[in-house]
Amino acid sequence: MSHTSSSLSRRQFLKGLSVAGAASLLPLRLLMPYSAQAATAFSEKDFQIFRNACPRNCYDTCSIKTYVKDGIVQFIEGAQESTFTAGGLCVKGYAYPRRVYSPDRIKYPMVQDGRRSGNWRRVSWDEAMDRISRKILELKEQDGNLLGLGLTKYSGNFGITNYGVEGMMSSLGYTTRFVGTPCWPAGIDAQNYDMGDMWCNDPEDMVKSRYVIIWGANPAWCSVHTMKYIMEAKRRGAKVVVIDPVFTQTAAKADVFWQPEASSDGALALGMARHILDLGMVDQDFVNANALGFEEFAAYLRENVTVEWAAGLSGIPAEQIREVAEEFATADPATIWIGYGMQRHTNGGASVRSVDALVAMTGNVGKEGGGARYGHLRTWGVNYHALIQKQPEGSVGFIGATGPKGEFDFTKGEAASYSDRTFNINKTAQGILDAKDPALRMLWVSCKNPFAQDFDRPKLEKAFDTLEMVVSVEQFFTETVANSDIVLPVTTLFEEWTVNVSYWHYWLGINEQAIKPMYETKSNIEIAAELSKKMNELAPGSCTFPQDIDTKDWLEKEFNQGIYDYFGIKHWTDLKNGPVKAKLASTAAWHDMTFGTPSGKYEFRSDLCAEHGHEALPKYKEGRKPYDEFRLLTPHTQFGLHSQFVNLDWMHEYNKEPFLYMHPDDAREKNIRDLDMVRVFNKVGELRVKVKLTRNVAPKSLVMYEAWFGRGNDFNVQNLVDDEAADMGAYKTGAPGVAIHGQFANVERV
Amino acid sequence: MSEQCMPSIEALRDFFAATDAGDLEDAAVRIAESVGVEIPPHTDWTTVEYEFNRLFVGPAAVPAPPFASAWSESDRALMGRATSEARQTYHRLGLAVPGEGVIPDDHLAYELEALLVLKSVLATEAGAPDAETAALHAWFVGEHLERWLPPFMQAVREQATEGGVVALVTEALAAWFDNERNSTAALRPA
Repeated sequence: MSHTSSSLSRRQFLKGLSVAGAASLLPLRLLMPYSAQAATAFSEKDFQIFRNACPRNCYDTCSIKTYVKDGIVQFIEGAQESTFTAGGLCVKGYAYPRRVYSPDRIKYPMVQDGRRSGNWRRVSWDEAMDRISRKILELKEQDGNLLGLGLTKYSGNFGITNYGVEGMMSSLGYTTRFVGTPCWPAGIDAQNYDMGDMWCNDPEDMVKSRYVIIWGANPAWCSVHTMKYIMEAKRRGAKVVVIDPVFTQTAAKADVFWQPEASSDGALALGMARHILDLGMVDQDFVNANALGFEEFAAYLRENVTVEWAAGLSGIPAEQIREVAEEFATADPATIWIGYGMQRHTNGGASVRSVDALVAMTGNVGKEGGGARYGHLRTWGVNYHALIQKQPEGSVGFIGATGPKGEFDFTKGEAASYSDRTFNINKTAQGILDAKDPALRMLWVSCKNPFAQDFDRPKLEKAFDTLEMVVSVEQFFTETVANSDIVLPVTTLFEEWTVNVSYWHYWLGINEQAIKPMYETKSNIEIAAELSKKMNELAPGSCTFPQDIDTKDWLEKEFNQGIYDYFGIKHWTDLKNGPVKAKLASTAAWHDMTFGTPSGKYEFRSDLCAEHGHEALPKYKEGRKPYDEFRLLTPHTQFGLHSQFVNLDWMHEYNKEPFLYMHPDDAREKNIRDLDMVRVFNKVGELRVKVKLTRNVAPKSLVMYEAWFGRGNDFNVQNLVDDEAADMGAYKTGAPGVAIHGQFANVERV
Repeated sequence: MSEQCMPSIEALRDFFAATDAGDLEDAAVRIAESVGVEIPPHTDWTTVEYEFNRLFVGPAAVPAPPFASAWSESDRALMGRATSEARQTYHRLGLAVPGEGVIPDDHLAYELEALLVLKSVLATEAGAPDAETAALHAWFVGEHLERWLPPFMQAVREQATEGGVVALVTEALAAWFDNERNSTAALRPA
């Protein structure tokens, strides 16, 4: 492939290939193959090669090799050294250069004269920091503390040094933090109640599974690198079952597809459990030696659960429930991948506990190729040097007990009598509206797009109206930026040094700075250093964040001997040769049967769970009652990751506009035809979108893929999703989750 | 002829390199003078700044990115072939964009300055311009700029406020470019 032109578009590339291949098809007698590209054949030494890691909120956290020539990223590919990445990225990852070099990228610090006016002026970093600092100092003076300054940040960038944003907040004083996670909190708590931690097997060991149930996850779109292990397991004879309210691309590869009533998963799992119990297929060795409370669980099943009952609630035929239950119980090992979508319900935590129980009672916990797979944080034991900063002397804050700030809160808890004030990130709008003594007056937004990702967008708009200053740190002009007063341009992964790990696989990758930060972009820790400079200039001692930082140096400070030992490397620079995998004693989580629960065993009966206001046993909990005609599902698309990628030009080629997916039978009743423009509406708000009819979605359901299309397209599913809480999440992540899929709406033609 | 154009190019360069209302006003006034046109009365320069940013800078998606790459190739991405062309041109003149790679080399302001240099070199060689520089000049105008300035200016015309400063400047740019194209036409290979 010729690399003389860095502007070779994908279409041109493909065209070039087919012409080159044509000669080989003809039987030639006299002419020999000639390639115009021979003179400029690809040679690695024409490029500077850097190691990067995709810092997105994705299972796969790909290890990337970046090819730079003349200081320009020419193209990227997946690293071969990682058996997980295995040389390939995903459709989103390959589009990264389009992001760096998009003319629409936010290039300079800018201020908006009048929020939402669209009137923006460039300012220098100095002026931006001056405005922000003066506002912070004003808050401090007027309120006597900095609780009026809030941070909302989530998973936009998981490069470890980006926790420097939280560190920056701490270095200013005690502030308001939006804590918790919209993503996976109910399941995290559930796994903690059952096993004492969220800890999954090495996904690469799925090849050893003899039975794979993918429950509410869609790896064909959202964890493409895991698919090869599932397909290999299948090739070796395993049966694959996919349980999903939508017939996904993953489901298309399965042997069995179940499309249950959304939020009935707990009942379905309990129905299977009852059948396994009845047939005497329980792994008695496991439940006797390594579990607590199985007999009580068994009694609960006998008294309250039947396969017919489960069939009635879920819509899955009883004989299928029996068949799959038997197969699952007899396969050895068998595994269930518990997807995050499955627990985004008011009963999400309870449902996950039921599925965990299924895996445990069949003796699949602690087995290579087995396990209740959800996620892990085993490889995240870095120093969090960027995160851990001290409040300035004399800082005044919130008085009262606070929990963890999120699932990635690795700080050991506050010893001081003051703490940050915490609000539920899943009820951001309500939190802002309710805040008092002091009110929330200023908001710093980073690694997040609240207007597209937080719930109840109409309420959020009202909430933002009450804020005096909003600062957004961004790469593209999201709706949140449109609702901000100051925007600060941030670097992409190619423009900063950091380190990345995954919450699914066990690889560690370095992220080198491959090119100079473009325009006036700065990384999050550089921004923090700038702020500190200005704060201390105006008020000495008002910010403890170091003012002179070297991002490469800060990367190095994240490593410790624990990480070196766990990954078997001598020094972080070893990672320049490629990503490295943890030295695992076993690919199985809980292989040593030493659970992190109070009893040290798998707890079918968790007293802690009951203490926290739930049931001790994994009992059935009803899902949210419908308040409108259709169930509304807003899952993840393969073309984007929340607000990222869908706005890029290459993605627009494949994914030009959003659609509502609806069953033809429902459409007929509403006099709606394929590609009609429709209005979807409920008590939260409404949106207009084109409809596509498909039997992939269940009757009486409306499916839209959440995404931010950019370029003025105002498609936003949060106009329809409210902030109803999930049952669990407060224990380990600081706040309950959200019933993202426990939503309902109606639809009509326009 | 070339001497009369010079202030105009510098002012055009300064306009597109502007970072605030003050810069814009300064450059726009000089452009207007050089083409004998009046700045619309009651012009609010902050409003001009808002429009300038909306069209060329951000933070929202820009309808008229002032970079050759955005218009020369089949896609809008920056740091493309046109950027390399611009960079090589500057290198041949013994020049470079500071912090090469931080801001794409093919920004209009840089290209206009390179043009100034080319014309300046040719002016000092008035009696006997060296063929290489003349050819470079002709290529830069007739091939490089020709590929992107017209569609760029068209986009600005469609998006800018009618009769406003940005529209005025774009017309000056168009007039200058037309003239430049004609004067280098003779030197372009047939």
